Amino acid sequence: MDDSPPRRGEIWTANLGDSAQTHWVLVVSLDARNISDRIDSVLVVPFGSWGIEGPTVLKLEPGETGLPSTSFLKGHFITTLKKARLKRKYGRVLTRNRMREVSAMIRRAFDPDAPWESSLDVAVIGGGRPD
Amino acid sequence: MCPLQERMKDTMPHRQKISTTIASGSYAYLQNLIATGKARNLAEALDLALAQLRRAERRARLEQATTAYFESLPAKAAREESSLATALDECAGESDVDHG
Repeated sequence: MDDSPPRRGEIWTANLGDSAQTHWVLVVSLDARNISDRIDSVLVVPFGSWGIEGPTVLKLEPGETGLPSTSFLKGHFITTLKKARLKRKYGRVLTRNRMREVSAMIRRAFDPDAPWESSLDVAVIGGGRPD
Repeated sequence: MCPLQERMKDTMPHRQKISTTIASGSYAYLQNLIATGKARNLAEALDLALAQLRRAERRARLEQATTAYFESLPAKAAREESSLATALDECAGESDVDHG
């Protein structure tokens, strides 16, 4: 692994699986965990090279990620990964706004009440006691 | 207006006044929300009922979009997802949840 610990929003190469195939992953866990030497794992979301956008998938262009081609960040594959499996920091760091979208995307993988593309829903967020 | 009322006005959600009629069954339902303590008044009962309806619609939309995603995934992407799942499953065995 690189000398510096992984940080939230960074893209890393990681060895996944028994065949130790290299994948790109986005670190999404909080930095308090990422830099801690008391825990040897981080939360990551893997990128795919093929796909379509969906409630739990973000399509990201090379200009934003620094990856060689268009990639698909797959929130439904969020997983715990040993820090030792992270090999090298790669590409760019995603912006705070983008990370907010990533968090919302991950949430849609497990929370049926997660907001999903509705201007009407957005308009009432925080606006009423019953909801 | 006293300072407390000013603060309440600032924090109260914007309310729209309406005047209409509803089916007697709907009225009974709203009254029941009040009787069972889920709402304090008719306005709150109506807000609550609509909030429940909107939540159900949001859930249905997300479920439909998720179904549409997996059903329309191109074959190449589906294969990649499958191999990714296998790879992550192999990694998952390494994590010791008792010791971080």
